[in-house]
Order: sequence, then C-alpha cells, then structure tokens
Amino acid sequence: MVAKNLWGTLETLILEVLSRGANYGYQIAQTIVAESGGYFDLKEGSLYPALHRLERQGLLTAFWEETREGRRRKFYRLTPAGQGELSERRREWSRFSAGVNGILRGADHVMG
Amino acid sequence: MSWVERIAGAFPDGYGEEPPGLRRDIADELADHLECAYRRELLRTRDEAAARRAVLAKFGDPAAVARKLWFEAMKEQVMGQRMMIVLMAVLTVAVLGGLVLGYLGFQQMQRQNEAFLARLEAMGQPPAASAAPGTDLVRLKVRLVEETPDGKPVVGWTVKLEGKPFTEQEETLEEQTDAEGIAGFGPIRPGRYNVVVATASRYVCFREILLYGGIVREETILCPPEIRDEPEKVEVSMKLQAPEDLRGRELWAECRFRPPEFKMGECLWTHHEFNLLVSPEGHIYRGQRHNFPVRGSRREPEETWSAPAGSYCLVAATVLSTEANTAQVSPRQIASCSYKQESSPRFEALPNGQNAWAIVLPDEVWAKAREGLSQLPRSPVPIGPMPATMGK
Repeated sequence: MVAKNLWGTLETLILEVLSRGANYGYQIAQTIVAESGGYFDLKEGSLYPALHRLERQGLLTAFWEETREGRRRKFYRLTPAGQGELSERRREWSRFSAGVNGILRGADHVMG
Repeated sequence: MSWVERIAGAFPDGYGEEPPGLRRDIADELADHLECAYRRELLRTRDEAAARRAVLAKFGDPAAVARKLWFEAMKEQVMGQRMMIVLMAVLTVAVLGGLVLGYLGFQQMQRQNEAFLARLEAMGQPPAASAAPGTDLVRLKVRLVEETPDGKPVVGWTVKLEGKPFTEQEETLEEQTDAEGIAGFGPIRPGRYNVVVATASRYVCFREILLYGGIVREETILCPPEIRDEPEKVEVSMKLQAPEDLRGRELWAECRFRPPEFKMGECLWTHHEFNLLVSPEGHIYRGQRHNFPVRGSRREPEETWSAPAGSYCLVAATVLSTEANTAQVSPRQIASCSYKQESSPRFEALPNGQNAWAIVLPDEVWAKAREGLSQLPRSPVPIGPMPATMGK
C-alpha cells in the first residue's frame, strides 16, 4: 500500500497494536508490517510523528526504560481516552468496510 | 558517527522556552529504533555499510524526522514567537510610519510658518535698494532748514533715525542732508522712531515720530544758526568767589554748566552738560569730583579753560573741601545748590573778549559750607596740589 493510502489509517493501526499492551516504536512498526503481511510497508520514520501526535492528544501515554545495551527506550501505552477512540474507530471501520463490501458484492453479483 | 550524534545535529538553534530534555528524548527514541533496525539488517546482510544503507532506506532521513518531531513539540512556542516577531514588525512599521507622518506634518507646518513669516516679512521689511517700495512701507524725508527769514537748507548734516519698527529689532539708519537739506529714509517699516540731528557744535535735537504703513512723510526741523558751525574756542578763566572768612581754606566748587537750549518749533536743541572744578584761587580741573587728583598727584590744575564760544548756564554747584583729603579720599562735599532754568547764572565765552567768570554762590550755600568745614578733620600735612599752596 502506498503511503498516501496509509495516511489516516496509521493512527488507527497504532492504537490497535498498543491495545494489546505497551510497546515501543520499532516494535510497533514491525508488528504493523508483519500482521499486514507486508501490505503496510510504511516508512518507519513516519511512525513517530503519529505516535507523538497521539501522545499530545492524550490518547497515548509514554514512559522510558533502559535496554540491556544501555540505550533509553520510549514505550507507549494506550490511555482510557485512547481506548475509547480505538473503539470508535473500529465501529467506523466496520461501517465503512460493510458499506464498501456491500457495494463490492453487488458488483460481483452483476458481473457474475 | 553514532545515530544519536547524527540526529542531534539536526535540531535548530535553541529556544528559550523549550522543555528540558526534548532534544535528547527525540534523539534517544529515534536512535533506539535505528539501532534495532541496524541489527536486523546486519543479521540479514552481514555487511555494516549495506545494513546502514538499508536502515536509512526503510526509515527515511532521521534528521528530517527529528526536526519534524521537534517542531511539532515546539509549534505553539515557535508560532507564538513568530507571531510576536510579526507583531513587533507591524508595530515597528506603524511607529516608523507615525514618525514619518509626524515629520512630514512638521515639515508642512514649518513650510506654512515660513510662508507666513515671509508674508509678514514682506509686509514689514524694507526691500532691497533696487526694489520698489511696498504700499505697507514708509518713506520719510527729514528736511533741515535754518531758523532765518530765508530758511536756508542745512546741507551735509547727519540725521539719524533710531527706533523700533513694529515687530522688529531696534535699528539705526543714518543719512546726510543733500543740497536741499533733505535726508531721505526708506522705504522703511512702520514703527516708532526718533529723529536725531547732531551738529558739529555737539548740539542735539530729538524728535519722536510714529510712522504708519503706506505713507510718505516729511518732517521739517528748524536749526538755530548759532549752532550751525563748530564755534571758535576761547580761553576762559574763572574763580570761585568765597566769603572773606573762608579765604585760605581748601575749597573747590564743582560747577555743572549747560550750554543754552534752543526751542525751534517742536524741536528742542540741547547740549550735554559738563562739570568743572573751580577754586577761589582760579584753578580749574575738568571733570567731576571723582576725577579730582588725590594728594600726591603730579597733575597740575589749569588756569584757563578752552571753551567753545557761546553762552553757558550754571545748573548746579557743590562746594567741596580737600582739607580732609588723603591719598585715597576725594574731596568732601560740604554744601550744594542747584538753579532753575530761568534763574541760573549765565556766563558768556566771547571771542575777542575778556572771559573771566566769577562763580558766585548764594549766602546760604556758604553758611552750610562753614558748618561742613567745622565738622571736617584737617589733614595733617598737605602734600598734593592744594589751592592754598598753589595760589600765585
């Protein structure tokens, strides 16, 4: 998927990944790529503006830990507000995909 | 260069209100990601350079990402600062604009004032000699004629015009009378002036005139023939007539003389008054008592006074004594009198005549003089030019 199609969806994907527990940027990016079967092959650097934006909006909270190699690592966690936002986005996505699927099924029926 | 160093160089110059640790947090977070990605790529490629290239290819420019994160975090402060700069610039422009407008307004006002002053100047100031006189200016002709039946013009006398034109500084103009006895002034500004005519014999006539704009005025001044020319000088001797009982005392009279005045029409011709110090022995000093030589002086008195021929009035006399004089002290005044114009003694200095004036003072003056003398301490040793020792 090209980057422009990911725009707007990335934040939903981040919230979804973090709904499973606290995580850090590299791992979030790897999860999105892996679980999408490589479909969302995003520029990894573009993940961070979205993470910081969600943090400023109060949907995520962050904390620091130190790795075994001595590096500082920033973890993100979903806040209750982030949880509510994710639920809303899931419902919206369901309505959106159902609508799109309905149209696509009708087209298949006509074409079939 | 480590990932952290590579990212740290990407931030813009510091802002005063930047949260502490913001740059380090961004750099550490991105460096952690890049390091993880590098290890992943290194396992895959076994080549550090290739791994590094692959990391950057997947991540994008870390410096650009770091700048974006920093700017997003600082957006409010940066925008606020930019707004402040814009506001300051607008205010500066407004202030400068105000100053420029004020300056232009001031210049316009100054031009208007200058134009107004120029109009006033044109109304009140005489133009250059070649310029035609304006209607607001004045021409004045002063005509001098002798007070004789034929009224001959007085030629070559100096006429001064002193005064203060309206709105202007005091000034003096001077002209000589021409062959018709006329001294022409103008165009001049209106105002109050004094016409002053002085003769070679030092007689002076003043006449005050008020000149209004747009006129040509002629003033005629009658001049007495007696004062037309500088008079011949004659030698005059004089003695103070002291009473018998005061003979031998060191007395002087400070006599104030005035040449006669001449009233000619509206004009009064006067001469300045002058003083002479006269002793009973006939010694004369010119000047007033403070010019009297103190004891020890080598200045000798005169026996005669070289006077311009004419008649003189004694205006006032003061009896002085030098008996208490010291090297520093001037003659003491012991009595005085003054005369009204009609009763003042007259003296004539006549050419080809015996000009010996006897200064006679009223008895009451001498009575006061006696009283004054009785109260004076006597100087122990007369050492100066004293009347008693210089009599011949």
